Amino acid sequence: MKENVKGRQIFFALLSTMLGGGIFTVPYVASRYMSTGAWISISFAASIFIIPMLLLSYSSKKYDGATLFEYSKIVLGKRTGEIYSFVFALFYLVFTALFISYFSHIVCSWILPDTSFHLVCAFIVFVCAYALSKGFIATLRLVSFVGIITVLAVVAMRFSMVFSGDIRGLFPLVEFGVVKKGFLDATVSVAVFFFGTGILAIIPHTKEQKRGFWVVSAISVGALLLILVCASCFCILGPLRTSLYPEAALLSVKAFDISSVSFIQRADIIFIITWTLLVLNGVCGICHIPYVYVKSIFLNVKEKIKILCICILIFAVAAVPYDAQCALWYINIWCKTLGFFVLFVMPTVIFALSGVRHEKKK
Amino acid sequence: MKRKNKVVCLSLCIAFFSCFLCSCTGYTEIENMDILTSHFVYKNGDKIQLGGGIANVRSLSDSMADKPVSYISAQADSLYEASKKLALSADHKLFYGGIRALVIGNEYADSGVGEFLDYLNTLPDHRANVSVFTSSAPARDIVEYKAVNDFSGGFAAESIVSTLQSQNAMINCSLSKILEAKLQGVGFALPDIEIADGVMGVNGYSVFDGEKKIFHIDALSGAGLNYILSKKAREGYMAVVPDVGEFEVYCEMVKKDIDVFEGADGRLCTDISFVFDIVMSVPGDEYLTHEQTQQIKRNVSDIINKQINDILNIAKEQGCDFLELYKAYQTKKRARFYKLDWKKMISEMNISTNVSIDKVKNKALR
Repeated sequence: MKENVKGRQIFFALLSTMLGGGIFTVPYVASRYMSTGAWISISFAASIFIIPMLLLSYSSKKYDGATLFEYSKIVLGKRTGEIYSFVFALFYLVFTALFISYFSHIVCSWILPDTSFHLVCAFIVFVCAYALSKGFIATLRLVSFVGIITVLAVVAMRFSMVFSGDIRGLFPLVEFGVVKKGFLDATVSVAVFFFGTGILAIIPHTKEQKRGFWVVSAISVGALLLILVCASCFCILGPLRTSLYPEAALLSVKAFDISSVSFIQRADIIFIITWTLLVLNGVCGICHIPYVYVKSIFLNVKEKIKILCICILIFAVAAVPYDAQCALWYINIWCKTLGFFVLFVMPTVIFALSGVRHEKKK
Repeated sequence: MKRKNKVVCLSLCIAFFSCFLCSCTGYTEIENMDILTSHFVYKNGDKIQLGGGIANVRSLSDSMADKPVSYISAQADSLYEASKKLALSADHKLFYGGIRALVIGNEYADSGVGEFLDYLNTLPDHRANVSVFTSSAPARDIVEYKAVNDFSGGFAAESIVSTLQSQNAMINCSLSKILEAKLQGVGFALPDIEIADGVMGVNGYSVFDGEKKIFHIDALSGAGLNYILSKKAREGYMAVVPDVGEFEVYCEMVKKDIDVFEGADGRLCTDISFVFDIVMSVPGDEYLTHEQTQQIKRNVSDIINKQINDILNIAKEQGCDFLELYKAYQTKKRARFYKLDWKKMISEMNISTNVSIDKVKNKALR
C-alpha cells in the first residue's frame, strides 16, 4: 500500500476504535474499581498506549511505506517475522470478532430485542466485507468523515449532560484508598478498549503525515472523551449506579432531562446512532488488519475469496459467546494473554532491532 | 461486474435484508397502543389498585373532545396480580413511554413503595425522569382532571410542578432520584398534590425514609426544603417595619454552601450558609431609611433562618436524610460514607446555619 494517508484520517481512525468500544462500557468498568477516580485509570491506560504506538510509527517511518507484516520480516528474520505477523493478524481477527459479538449482544439486549443476535452479527460482518472490498484508504476516508460528525455529537451531548446534571457526582476527584485498591484492575480493564489503535500497524507512512503528533493527539483526545463520558454518567446517574449497571451509559442518556436542553429531543436515539457509527467505524478499520496479512501471504488468490474467508472466520468467532458480559470477558482475557505481547513486547523488540538490521530500500 | 453476477449479488442482498428486517414484524404502531399519560398505585383496604389514564388519541383532533383521557384500573391482593389484571383489561398493548406523572396514594406510601419501584423498573420504555407525586385525592379525579391547557391529570400535574420549579418555588422529584435515594439508603421528598375546589395544586411534600412515607410537610414549611434542595430558590414574605407597615418582599437565593463533615467528636457537622437578594416593591410614595431597610433584611433573614433550622431539625429528629446532605458529604469522603451508619449520624448531627441578605433591589432610600 503506497497511497497517501493524511494525518487527520489517522487521527479519526484511532479515535473511532477507542470511542466505539469504550463509550458504552468504560464508565461501568472504570467506576466499578475507581469510583469518581475513574479518570486516573483512563488517563494512565491511554498514556501507556502512546509508547507502543509511537514505536510503531517510528518503525513504519524507517521502512517507508511498509506495513508491520513487511518490515517485521526484515527486522526479525523471515521465520520469526512470519510467526509474529501471523500472531498479530490472528489476534486482531479474534479481537474484531469478539468486538462485533459484544456490540451485537448489547444491540439485541437493549435496542432491537426481537432481532436475532446472529443476524445483527452477520449485518456487521457484511458491512466489514463491504469496507474490505472498497480498500483500506477509502475506508479511512469514510471513517474520517463520519468520525467528525459523531465526535461532535458525543461532545455536545455529554457536555450538556454534565452541566445539567449534579456536578457533586464528580467529587472527590481522588480517594487514595480507593485508587490504591482498584487502580490495577481498572487500568487493565480500561486498556482493553485502546487495543484498536493497533490499526496503525497497517497504515503506510508518508513524510507529510506528522504521524507522531496525530497518534499522540488521537490517544489523548480519546482518553479525554472517555473521561467526559464517565463524567456525564456520574452527573446524571451518580457514581454508585454507574458502577452497578453495565448498561450505565445507556441508562444515563435515558435519565437525562431532555426538556432542559431543548435542541436534544431524544438523547437516547442520538446516543444509539453515534455509538453505532463509531462501532462500525472502528470495526471497519480493525478488520483490515487480518485482511492485509492474508493479502500479503496469498498473492494468487482472488480478492473476493480472501474477503469471504476473513468474514466467515470473523462471523464464526463472533457467533460463539452467549451474552454481552461473556464477550467482554473473552475480550479482556484475550487482550491480557496475547494483546500485551503483540502490541507492547514485539514492537519494542522490532524498534530496538531495527537499528541493527535496518536495510534501506533501493 | 457481469450482469448475471450483479443479479445474484442483488438477490442475496435482498434476501439478507429481508431476514434482517424480520424483527419489524414484532413492531406495533403507536396509534394502535394505549398510551398511558399517568400511572397510579393506591391502596383500597387490603387491595392494591393499579391504573392510569389512557390518552384518547383519536379524539384529540376533535378540539379536546369530552373525554380526552380514559380511566383504566385493576385491583388485586398484590401489585403483581394487579399489573397482570391491568394488562389483561387494556384493549391494546400499553405504552409506558408517554407517562407524565406517577402518582402514589398516601395509604400505599405508608406501607412502602419498594415493590412499586421494582415494578416500574420492569416496564418497557419507561422514562427515568418522569415526575413522581403522592396524593390523597381519588385516583379517578387525578387521572381525569382537565386543566385549561392540559388535557389530562398526568400532564397537569407535571406542568404544575415544572412551572413551579422553573420559578424556583419548589423542587421536583423524578423516578431517577428516588432510585438513587433507595440505593444509597437515604430518604427523599415527593410533592403531594391535591384537588381542592376542582383545582389541582401542590399542598406540600411527603417525606420518605427508605421506602416508607414517614410524615407530611405542608407548603409553608416546605420553603426550607426548597432552599436546601434547589439550585436557586425563590420565596415571598411579608416584612414588617414598625411604624411604617408591611412590605411584600421576594428573596432570591444567589449563593448556597452546604458543608457536611465529621467533627472531632465523630459527630456529623452540617454547616449551611445562604446569601439572598431581596426584591421588594415600595408602595406609593413611601421611602425607606437605611435603618428601615436593615430592619427588613434582619426580619427576612430571621424568617429564612428559622425555616431552614426547622427543616434540619425535622431531619435530625426523624434520623432521615431527605435533604440530600449525604451528597455534600460524599464530595469529600465517598468511600467512607458506605461504612457509616448514616441514620444515626443524621440523628446526632450538629447544625449550623447562616443566612445573609446581600442586595435589596427596587427600593428607594432617603
